Amino acid sequence: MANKKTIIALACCVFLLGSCGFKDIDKRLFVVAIGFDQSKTSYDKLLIHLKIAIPKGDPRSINQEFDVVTVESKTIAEALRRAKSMVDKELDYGHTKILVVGEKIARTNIKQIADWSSRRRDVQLIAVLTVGKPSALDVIKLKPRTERVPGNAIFLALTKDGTESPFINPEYVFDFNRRLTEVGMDPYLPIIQVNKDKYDISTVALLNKEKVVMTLNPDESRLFNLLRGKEKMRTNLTVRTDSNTYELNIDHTSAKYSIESGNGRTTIKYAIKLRGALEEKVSVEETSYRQQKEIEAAGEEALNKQVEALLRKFQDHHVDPLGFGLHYYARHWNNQTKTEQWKKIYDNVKFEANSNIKLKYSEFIM
Amino acid sequence: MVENKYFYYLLALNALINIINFVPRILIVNRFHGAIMSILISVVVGSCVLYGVTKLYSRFPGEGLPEILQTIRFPLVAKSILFTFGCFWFSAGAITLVSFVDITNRYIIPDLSPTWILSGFLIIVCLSSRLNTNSILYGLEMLVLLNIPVILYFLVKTLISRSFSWDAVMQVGTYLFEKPNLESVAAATFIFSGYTNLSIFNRVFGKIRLRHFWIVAVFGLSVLLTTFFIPIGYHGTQGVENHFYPWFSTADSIRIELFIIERSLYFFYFIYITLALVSSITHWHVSLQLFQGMLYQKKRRTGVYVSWFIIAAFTCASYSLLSLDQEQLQVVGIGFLESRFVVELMFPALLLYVLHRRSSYGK
Repeated sequence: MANKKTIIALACCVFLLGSCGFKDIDKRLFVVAIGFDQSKTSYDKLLIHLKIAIPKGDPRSINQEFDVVTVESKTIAEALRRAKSMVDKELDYGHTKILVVGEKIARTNIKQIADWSSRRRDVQLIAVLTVGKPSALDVIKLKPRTERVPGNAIFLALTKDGTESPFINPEYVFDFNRRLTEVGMDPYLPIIQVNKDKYDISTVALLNKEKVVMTLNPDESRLFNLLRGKEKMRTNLTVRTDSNTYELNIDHTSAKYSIESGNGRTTIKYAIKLRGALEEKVSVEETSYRQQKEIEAAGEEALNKQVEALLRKFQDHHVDPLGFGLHYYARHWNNQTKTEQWKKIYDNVKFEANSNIKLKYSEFIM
Repeated sequence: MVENKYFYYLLALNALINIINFVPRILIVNRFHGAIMSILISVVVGSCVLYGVTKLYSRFPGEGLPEILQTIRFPLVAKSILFTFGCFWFSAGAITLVSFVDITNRYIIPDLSPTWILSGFLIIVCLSSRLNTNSILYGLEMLVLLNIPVILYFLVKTLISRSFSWDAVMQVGTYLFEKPNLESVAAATFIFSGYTNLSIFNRVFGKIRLRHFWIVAVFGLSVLLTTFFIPIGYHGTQGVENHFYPWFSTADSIRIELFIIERSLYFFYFIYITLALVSSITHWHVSLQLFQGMLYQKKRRTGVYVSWFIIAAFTCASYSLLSLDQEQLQVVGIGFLESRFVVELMFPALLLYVLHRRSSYGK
């Protein structure tokens, strides 16, 4: 009896193998990145660029070879099917980890792409989403000399698996889609600025529920990274006193906020803690302990001002990338009215930053 | 007779498999309309029914439902009860299988047709559900114990991740005082209904003693809260509704930075394929035994051909479920959860009636 069963089971397995639509790995092409640009000829059409990696047998050899297939179409789905007839093997999106949106589209409507990326099952929800400047194609075509696998450089940078830059604010597809739908929290995207064959990811685009409404310069991006309080962050901090300019090496940061209302006015209070050491002085002279305290105080004051200015900028543009709204909703029980209430509050909310900088050492050379 | 601990594996199985049987989906759809209150109610209702029915079963040591129901005066009534219950257990297994075919097709092998995937699953489930009751319990123990550490790893990983939004969880938490609804209560009690498998498995248990019963209630509550809140923490209070299998999307949102496979979805899938299959095997085993009990009420011995015939019927019915689309499958799933809940609430009355008859007429 047992023998019979095994035979039947094996026979069925053979059937399964023969009839499924499975393609062997040497009959597949792996798309590592997809770029989206606006068509130059027609306003409502997209240019979709597929970056296809060309695999090599030897894993130790450096392989930067890739091919880019570009299709013009109104929809992404159509473009991917059209691309199938431009290549020899089956296109596989299981390794698509980078989605680049051209700046033009990001400034008009990003919803279509965001929805597609979460709906399409083989595009991972942990793929990274970025804005390409001046266009997505520039990012797709990028070939940094340090890269070992096509498309890997940008992925390493954007996930912080590789470089840990304080200017990079990583964004994944699942998080972007959450922010796009969430009430009281707005999305952001890191911008990759391409200059010939070099790139720089130090600016951030802030979006409302539809498109980019403002961009942050590198300083603001770093502050934004600090204020999100999500990442482990190592950065420098420039402090100017009357007599000298100092650079601090910050190796520990934390940022928390609370929303407090009183006297008819609501205040968002940020508590920021920075721990670090003195790294550089512009004019080299000895620093006493008293001066060290002065540096801390000057740094705190400057940081408070910068933070408050940045938060006011968010407020002026009616965006909420830090999720103050959600924070407010999470702590108020009047479910019918709180959304309307917050909209009114956020327009004239006051910001108060309270930073605390502590230098562990200033004078000793390690 | 097997030890008491196997009873807890049966409970754990239902608690773990709930994420495939539409439980989180139903709770999440109702998240602003009383899901949390329903969870709290279902913990009370579910654990009370669990406790009561298990106590009642311990009055029938070594007897399954077909034997217990022989006391009923009208065989036709007993047979129709067994038939209905058999159908319930069949649909429990079939819904798990069909939704898992859908999941496999979506996330793992989009190229393969659902019919073939289901065929692969059916070979395992059909062959195994004919095993004897003890072997199924031993297999169940093995799989549950192997999978629990990995599931715990996932839970810890999701909760300590920086992407987890506690604000979103608390925002949904402010909807605590909404009116609960039947749909959510029925869905949430599903995680407690592992005990219903006693209708056959009671044959191999002696007297079940429930020690530290409060642990079951606490475990149930924490399972429900994680089932409900973790997808919300990952996909936001609004976005979570767009995901049909919220837990698989959540698994897809977790990156394992330092391992061979970065996409944790594959691990998650691997754990849940074993759980889904063993759950279907258990349910179909119960169903098969109930149908056999219906056909051969006097003797427990059954013909081999009859059991194959029943399994063939199961297979055909499963294939026909494949033709349903996502929305219809969800309607079937919700229908199953609700009707199961109602029947479960009435079930103690049946057992009490049988007990009453036995005590008044002697055995």
